[in-house]
Amino acid sequence: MPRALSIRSAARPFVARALRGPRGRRLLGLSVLLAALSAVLGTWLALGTGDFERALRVGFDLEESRHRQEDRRFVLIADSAEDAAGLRRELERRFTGQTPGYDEIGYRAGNAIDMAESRLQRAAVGEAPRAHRKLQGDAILALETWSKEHVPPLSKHSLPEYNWYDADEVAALQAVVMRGMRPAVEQYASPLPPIDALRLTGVFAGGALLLLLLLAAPVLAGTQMAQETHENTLQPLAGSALRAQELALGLTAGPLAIVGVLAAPQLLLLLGAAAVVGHLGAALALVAVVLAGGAFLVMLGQLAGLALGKVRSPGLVGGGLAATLGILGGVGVALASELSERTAGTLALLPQAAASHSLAQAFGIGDGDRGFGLAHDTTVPVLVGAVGMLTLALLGLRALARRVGNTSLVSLRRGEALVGAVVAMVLVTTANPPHPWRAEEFYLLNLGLLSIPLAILLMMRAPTGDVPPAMRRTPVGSLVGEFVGWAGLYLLLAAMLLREGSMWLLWQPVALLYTGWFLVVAALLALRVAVAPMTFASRLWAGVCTAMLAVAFCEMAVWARSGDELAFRNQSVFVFTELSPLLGLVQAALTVAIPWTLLRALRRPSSVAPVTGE
Amino acid sequence: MRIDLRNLGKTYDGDRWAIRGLDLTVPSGSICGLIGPNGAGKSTTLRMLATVMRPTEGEIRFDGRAPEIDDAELRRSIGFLGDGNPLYKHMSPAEYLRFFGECFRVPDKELDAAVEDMLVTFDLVDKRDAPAGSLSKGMRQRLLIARCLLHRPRLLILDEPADGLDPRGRSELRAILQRTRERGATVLISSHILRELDDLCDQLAILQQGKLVVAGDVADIIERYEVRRFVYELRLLPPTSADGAGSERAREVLVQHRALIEASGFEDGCETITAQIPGGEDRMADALAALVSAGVRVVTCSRVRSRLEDVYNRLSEDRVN
Repeated sequence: MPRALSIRSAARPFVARALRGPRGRRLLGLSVLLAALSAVLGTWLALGTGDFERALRVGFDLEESRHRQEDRRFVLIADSAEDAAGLRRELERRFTGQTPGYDEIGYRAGNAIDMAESRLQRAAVGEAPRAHRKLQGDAILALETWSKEHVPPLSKHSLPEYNWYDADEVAALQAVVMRGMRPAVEQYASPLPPIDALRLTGVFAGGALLLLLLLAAPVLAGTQMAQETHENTLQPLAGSALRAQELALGLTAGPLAIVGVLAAPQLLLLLGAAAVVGHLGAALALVAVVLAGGAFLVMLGQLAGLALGKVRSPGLVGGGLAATLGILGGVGVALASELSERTAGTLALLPQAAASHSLAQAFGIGDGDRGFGLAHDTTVPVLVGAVGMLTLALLGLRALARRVGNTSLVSLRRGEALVGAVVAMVLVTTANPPHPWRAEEFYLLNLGLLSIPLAILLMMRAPTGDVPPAMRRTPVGSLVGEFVGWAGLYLLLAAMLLREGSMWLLWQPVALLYTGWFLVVAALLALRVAVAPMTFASRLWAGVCTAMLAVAFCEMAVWARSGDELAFRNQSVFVFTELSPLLGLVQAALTVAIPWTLLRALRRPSSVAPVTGE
Repeated sequence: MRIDLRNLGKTYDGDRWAIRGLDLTVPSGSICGLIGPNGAGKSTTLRMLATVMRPTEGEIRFDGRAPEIDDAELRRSIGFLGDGNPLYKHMSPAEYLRFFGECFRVPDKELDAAVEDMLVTFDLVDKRDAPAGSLSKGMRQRLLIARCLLHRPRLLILDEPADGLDPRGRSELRAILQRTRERGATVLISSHILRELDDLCDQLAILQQGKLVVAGDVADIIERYEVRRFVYELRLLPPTSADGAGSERAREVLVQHRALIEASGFEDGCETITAQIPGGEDRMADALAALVSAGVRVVTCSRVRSRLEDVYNRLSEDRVN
C-alpha cells in the first residue's frame, strides 16, 4: 500500500471515532463559535468605547491614556454626549465670565485651562529656536490676551524652559495658541482605525491557535493514550490489521482531528488578517513553529501517557500534562515578551516562546526595544527550533510505534538516539550560545541542561519491551558508553566554539573526575529507572542519587574554574567536609556507594523488586 | 488455518513460567477447546496465538508459516477475544463495530452490511445506538464476540467467550461457532464450563500448571480415559400384569450383580435406570440375562459415554499455578 494511502487508512478509523455522530457537529459548532469569539474580541478591543477595553488598550500600548491625549491635543474627551454638553456649557461659563462650576466637569475644564496657561507661560520664557520664534510670539500674544497683562519678551521667570525640541510639545502649544486657550470638546471614540479590528482579530486567532496546538493537543493526546493503556483497550487495537506505525499514527490522528476542527477557522483568520494588515511571512513562521512544536509536544504527551497510564489514572496524567505545559507556556510567553539579544536563542528551546514572538512579529505587537524583541533578528533560533522539534517529533513517533506495537525491545535504535542527542545539543547551544567572557555559563550550564534530554534518550535505548526484567540482558557498559559519548561529543563541540584555553574543566583533574562521575551516575540512574522494577525503597534511593548528582554538578562547576581562583578559595574535594568532617565522610561514602548499588541493581534486577505473576 | 505450536514458553517475570514446552497441533477447520484451572496458562497461550504477545521461547506456525514481527496481514485473518477486553463506553455497538471493521480494513462497500449482519446475529439491533457503557454484561460480551467475527477471520480465538452470557446466549454462541467452523475457519476456545465444550469441540488440550497434560481428538481422549468407568442406561417397559416384574425387581437383580444405581426416571412411557457395573462388559451381559430371566421387560441397554467433565476431573489434579 502506498505510504500516503496507508497513513490515510490508518488515521481514518480514529478520526471517524473522534468525530463520530453528533460530536463532529458539536465540535464544528464550537469551532465556528470560537472563531466568531476571536473576531468579536478583536473588534471589541480595537473599537470598543467602554472603560474596560480602553484600559486594556492603554495597558497594551495600543492607545495613550486620556490625560495624555487631552494634554497633547488640547481637547477635553467626554465619555458621552451628556458629558460633552456639560463640558461645553462649563467652558462657555468660564469664557463669558460667569461663575465656574465646582463639580467634576468644572474641575476638568479648569484643569485643562490651567495647564494650557502654564504651557503658554513656559513657552513665553527663554529663547525659542529660530523655527519656532513665530509660535513663541503667538504664544506670548495669546497669554497676554488671556491674562490681560503684558509679558516682556525673553523674560526670565522661575519656570523651566519650554521643550521646543519635542514635536508633541510643539503640537500641543500650537493647539493652545490656535484655539485661544479654549480646549475643544470631543466625545470619546477609539483612536484605532477600523482596520486594527482585523489586526487584533488576527492576534486573538493566533493566540487561540497557540493554545490549541501547544497546550490542548498534547494534553488531549496524552490523556487519551493514558486512557487506552489504563483501560486495556490498546490490546484489541494491537491485535488488529494495523501495523505498529499505522497504529501510532492513528492514535495521534484521533485527538489531533478534534483540535484540527477547532483550529482550522482560527488558522484561516490568522492568515487572512496577516495578509491584509500584518506580515504574512511572520504569520507563516508562527504556523510552522506551532505545528513543529505541537508535533513534538504531542509525541511527548503520548509517550508520557503510555508510560504512566498503567500506574496512574488518565485524569491525573492529563492534569499533570496540563500543569506542566501551562507552566512552560507561561514561561515561554514571559520570555518572549521580555526578549533581549542575550535571551533570543531560547526561542529555539521553547516553542511557546517562539510562537508568541512570531505572533507579535506578525502583527507588530510590542515595541522594538524590549516588548517581544521585535528589533532582534530571531530567524536562526526560530528556524533551528522548528527543525529540531520536528526531528524530535519524528523520533518520538518511531518510539511510540515500537511501544504500542511491541515490535522491538528498545524504543530507539543507536543511530536514532544519536540524531536525537545531536538535535538536543544544537537546540541547547542555540538557546545558550558561547559567552565571550564566561565560558562556564556556556558549556557547563548547557551540559547540565543536556543531561535531561540525554537521560531520556538513554532510557529509550534501554531494553524494556515484552521481556521479563530478569530475562533482559541490559548492556550496561555499552549504553553508559553511548551516554558518555554523547556528552563527550557535546564537550568537543563546545571546545570548538570557545576560545582556546577557556575550558578549565579539561585541565583540572578533580573537575574531570567529578564530570566522569556525574555522567556515569546519570546514565546508570536513567537505566535503573527504565529497566528494573521500582519499589518504594528504590524510589527513595533514586531521589538520593538525584540529589547527589546535583551536588556533583555543583562540585564540577566549582572545580572547573581557573587555577588562580581555586588556589585563592582552597576548595575541599568533598564540599560537605567544610560543614562537618562527618558529612564529608558521608559524601565520600555515597560517591562510592551510588554507582555500585546502581550497577548491582542493573546486573540483578529481580533482586530489587518482588517478581509479579500473570 | 492449521496451527502448530512447538516448545512454546512464556514467562512474565523471568522466574516462573506461565506456560512452557507446549507442543500442540490444531488441524485446520476444527474447534479446539483449551481447558485447565485458573493460572494454567490458557490466556497466555491464546494471546501468543493472537500475536499480541511474543513467546519467550519456542515458535508458532500458522499454515506452516512463522509470523513476522508486526505481521498485520496475519492479524487480519485472526479474530481475538482476550480476557478482560473492555469496550469504549461512549461508543455505540454500531460505532464500535464500524471502528474495528476499519481497523481490520474491511472494504467500505462490505462494512455496512457486515456491521448490520453482526448486530442482527448477536441480537443487538435494538441497542445499536445506545452507549456501550449502558449495555448489560451479556450484551457487552456479545458485542465483543461480534467484533471478533466482523472481518470473517480464518482463525477465531476466544478466551472465556461464554462469560456473562445467559443460557440462550450460550446456545446461540454454540450455533455461531458451528457455522464459523462450517465456513472453514479454525476456532480456539477456552472455557471453564466444560459442558459448553463437550459437544462443540472436536479437539481438546488440557493444561495444568503451565504444561500440556493431554491433547488430541475429543472422542479419542474420552475413550482413552474412561476405561475404568462402565455406566449403562436401561429402558424398561412397565409390567403387563400387576404381579409382573417392574423397576423394583430390576433394581433387586442389578444390586445382586453388584451394580451401583446412579439415577432412575421415567421417559417416553419407559422407566430408565442408570447404573454403574464394574468389571467389564461380561458382568453387564450376565446382569442383562438375569433381568430378562426375572421377567423384566428390557427395551434397550446402552452404554453411557463419559462426559468431558468426567475425563477432566480424572485428569485434573485440581491445582493452580
